Amino acid sequence: MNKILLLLIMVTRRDLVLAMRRRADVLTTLIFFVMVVSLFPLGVGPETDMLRKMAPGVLWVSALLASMLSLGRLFSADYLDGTLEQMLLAPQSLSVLVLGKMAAHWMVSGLPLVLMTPVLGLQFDMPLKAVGVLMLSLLLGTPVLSMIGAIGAALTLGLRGGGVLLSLLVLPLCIPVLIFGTGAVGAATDGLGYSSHLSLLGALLVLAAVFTPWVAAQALRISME
Amino acid sequence: MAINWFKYSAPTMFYPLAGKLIPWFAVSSAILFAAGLYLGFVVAPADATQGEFYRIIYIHVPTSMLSMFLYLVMAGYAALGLIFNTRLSAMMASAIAPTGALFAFIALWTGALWGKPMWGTWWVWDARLTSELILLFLYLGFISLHASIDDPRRADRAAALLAIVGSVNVPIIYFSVKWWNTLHQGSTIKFSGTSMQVTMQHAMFTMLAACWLYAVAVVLSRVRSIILERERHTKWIAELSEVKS
Repeated sequence: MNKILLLLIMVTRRDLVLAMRRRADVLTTLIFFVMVVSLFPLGVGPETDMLRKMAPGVLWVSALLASMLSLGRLFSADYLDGTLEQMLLAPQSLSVLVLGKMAAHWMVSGLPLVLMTPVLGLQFDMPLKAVGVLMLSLLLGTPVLSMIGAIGAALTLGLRGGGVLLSLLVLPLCIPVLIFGTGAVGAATDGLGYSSHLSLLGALLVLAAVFTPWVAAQALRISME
Repeated sequence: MAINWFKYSAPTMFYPLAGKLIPWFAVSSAILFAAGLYLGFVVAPADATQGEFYRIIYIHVPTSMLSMFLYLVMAGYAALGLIFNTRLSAMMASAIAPTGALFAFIALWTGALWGKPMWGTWWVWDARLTSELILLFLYLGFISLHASIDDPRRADRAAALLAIVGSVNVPIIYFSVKWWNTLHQGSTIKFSGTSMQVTMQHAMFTMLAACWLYAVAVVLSRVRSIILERERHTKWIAELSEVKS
């Protein structure tokens, strides 16, 4: 048990170190997120009431798109330099390796978005409580996006036009996360209970954490054989 | 008499069998389509509340039911192919996908046509419409993943995994969308009796059977083409009379 945990931490740390060596990649995702969110008021007009109502949806959809953007990099660098092949041959469980990579991917591309949310929420004039719920829902939801996305990234490894195809495969599967994530914020702004939405998001997170690493590992084996 | 069911899991054996079965399915499907359309559009009475507009139900409901069933059948074949590594199962899965996508599209299209006179709008963001749309996306994802991988074996296995993940996700998507918004009328056909008039029921089930038979006929003929394409270098293909001539 301890060994598995150690392996998980090692893989995650390795991916984080690699990401820190190329900080521009991390920043691009974040800038993309901020930019897409800022485009919406320009597109629909500056009425504060409407913006406040739209904010959770806009932020969630932008987070979804931003996480798609960085998914292509999840396995491709390791695939190109042969590291991935060695990981598949390693005696350790591939599922744990994949889970480590998912965790690192989330810390690099999901967590910055969550931390950036309060600023963007203020731009949309969201009430403080709604911003809190939005952050909480993103905190629970973005790891699921990374996990489901990893399956798609593994399936489209090394294909031409993989990026667009990846979004086509993964986006429909992410719809429940989007619904519960925005639903929580909507309920909070309407003064209703939002804990059920967050509980469902938590349930999705647990389900995804149990199944997706194994499925993504199988997908990697299919793509690499 | 012991029947060897696995005999027909080999493309060599299945190809001629499918060829013999296709005309039967095609002809009976055509007859049932004619009967079902006659029953539905001529014999069945107009609906008490919806007038003549409701008649689109005879196309809308069978196609939307089939689009959902076919996804499960496709995922089932995909799983068989992935687990037992049988070539034919994977070919069946990729043969079913376009038909399923077609049915999903027809269901959405007729739903829009029905929605205009009934709800006064072509499209509403209602739970069932939205989940049908997502089902269409899942089909399109399957088809495009299969199409973009050159190696047929990898394509089969990757698409199979996607179909299985999708089928696990379908109930989650369905319920999440359902809780999100609901306007669609409740199901009329329930297992414990129905609220439909008898002629309407007959017409509906005839159309449903016709759609099933059509789907089988089309899938079988598509799988024959896939077999011909994949096994074109083998000897038994070269010896087929239709290939020789």
